[in-house]
Amino acid sequence: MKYIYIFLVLIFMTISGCAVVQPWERERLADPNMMFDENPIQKGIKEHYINIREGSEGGTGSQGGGCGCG
Amino acid sequence: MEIKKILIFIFIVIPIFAYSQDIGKEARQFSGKTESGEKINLSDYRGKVIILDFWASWCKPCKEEIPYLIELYNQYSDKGFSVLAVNVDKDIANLRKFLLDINKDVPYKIILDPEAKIPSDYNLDSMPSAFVIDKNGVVKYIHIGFLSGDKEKFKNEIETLLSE
Amino acid sequence: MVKKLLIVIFLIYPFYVFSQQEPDNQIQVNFNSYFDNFRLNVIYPSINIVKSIDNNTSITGSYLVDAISSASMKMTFKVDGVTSATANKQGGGDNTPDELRHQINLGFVRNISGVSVSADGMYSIEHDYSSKTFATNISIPFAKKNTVLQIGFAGNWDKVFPQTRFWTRSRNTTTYNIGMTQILSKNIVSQFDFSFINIDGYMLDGYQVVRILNGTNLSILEPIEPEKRIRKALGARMNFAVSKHSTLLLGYRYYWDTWDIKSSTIDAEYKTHMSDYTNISLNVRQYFQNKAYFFKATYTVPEPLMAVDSKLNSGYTNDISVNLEYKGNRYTGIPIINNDKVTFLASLGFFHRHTDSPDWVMRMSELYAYLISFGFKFSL
Repeated sequence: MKYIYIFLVLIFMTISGCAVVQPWERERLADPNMMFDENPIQKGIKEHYINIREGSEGGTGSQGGGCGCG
Repeated sequence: MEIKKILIFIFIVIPIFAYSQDIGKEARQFSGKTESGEKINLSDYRGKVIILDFWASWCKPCKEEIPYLIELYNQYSDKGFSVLAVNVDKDIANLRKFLLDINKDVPYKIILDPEAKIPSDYNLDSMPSAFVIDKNGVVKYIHIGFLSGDKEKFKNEIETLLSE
Repeated sequence: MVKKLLIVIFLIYPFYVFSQQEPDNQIQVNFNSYFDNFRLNVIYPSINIVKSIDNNTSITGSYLVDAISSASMKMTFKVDGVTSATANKQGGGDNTPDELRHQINLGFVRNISGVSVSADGMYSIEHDYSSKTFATNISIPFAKKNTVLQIGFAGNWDKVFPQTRFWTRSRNTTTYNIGMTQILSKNIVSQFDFSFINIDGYMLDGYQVVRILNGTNLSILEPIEPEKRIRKALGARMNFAVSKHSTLLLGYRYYWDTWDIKSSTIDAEYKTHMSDYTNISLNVRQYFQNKAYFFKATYTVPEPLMAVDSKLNSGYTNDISVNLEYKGNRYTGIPIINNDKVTFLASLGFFHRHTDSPDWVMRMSELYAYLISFGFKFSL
């Protein structure tokens, strides 16, 4: 449970308005290379072999970032 | 129980507060210049239904949106419809390259606003953003981003406002 | 008399946790291969499709085949008294794939007023293992999309029925995931992610054996592992725009579970646009892990819990890969490449794992694997 609370606190710290980058200021963030897991299929392919050779799982994040366009 | 409360909060309460727009108010006036130096005022479009479109060459959905706006302009411009675009590219070379890539002539005016004063005044949520404004200069619809579903919506909205 | 080295539980979980951007209509085809010095070879072609079906909804589908070869098994299991190996129905020759696994995913992603919701079902089948998964994700933007909250849930129901046993065992996994992507500046974006995975049931692969040497007496027993495991992982990543054309991603993950495995993973990826059409990336990854509390390099007497699986051993891995992406463009005169709808993908990887004691089958501590993948993405 405590991890969920930590996340909620983090979320509200950010929602409260610190460090807002305006949509028209995101030219560099719009670069596909600035996205996390821009090609999630390739990430899946990689995790495919890692998971059979290592004893850990999860915590690798999900697609996100970019310019928030659309 | 606690998890349930948290989920209700995340899925229901937060999204309600996440969005607020000023539809129904008069569009804020501004003026700007095109690449050729022509001065444009928003008030020049009074009496027409317009789409005020904010875009940039780096915005991926804009590659879909701009050709569609050109299509709408060609279809409805003789019925009292127009498009006014505000481009926020810092480097005009990027804008030129974008237009070359989409391989289409843009028949409507594009205001260059590299300092992004107009979008700042409009407090945009995303790029692109399109404001559908009626003949009286009132914002009737706002499109945040450009999804495939927006095409049909734009058409319906223009036809509704033109018939008013 | 052929048996498998391991059940390759290679499930690719649903990929489509989309961010706020509408997914592009596309077909992506990949031909992937894995070869290691433990003589495990896997060829796994896959096809993935994303297609919008209405104004705000896209459907996603994928099909994947694993052709797995474990050529060493004839030799290894000659003395396998416990498992009494039987002939594999699908292949079995040293140079042919010992098994095929098929996986199909079907799902959708829908945008509801800026909130993206996705659901995905998956089914995987091979001759001794089946798996069903249902996964759902929601992605909610805040503060002009400076912050995006991602919440995911997945349920996974597996059946294990080794060829050499007369039973079927089940394993149920529930995964909760919460993540947050946060824009920190015009040039930096970060992501935090927490996973909670609860597994109940049979977690062995059904083929491994524990050899106990007592004087000159060799007894071969089945490994025994706990039937419950709670796994947690906390990850943080930051992506920096280091120049006009290049980015650097740094990541760290800490993992811990109820089997006392703790691990740290550090990750760095440099990506650069070589031209308008060519993108190259270099990824370096290091992983350190300690062993499960019941894992031992050798057993001299039978114990209540016994494991031989190298994944539960302590050790580290080094992983390096290079990826190349080339977008087709109309300005080239070369056929196929002159199509702007096609992107070509290629990747080459090298993976080295060290375990602190030798592997139970191959009796080696160093695993070297090569990964070659190529494919293309076609915009619909």
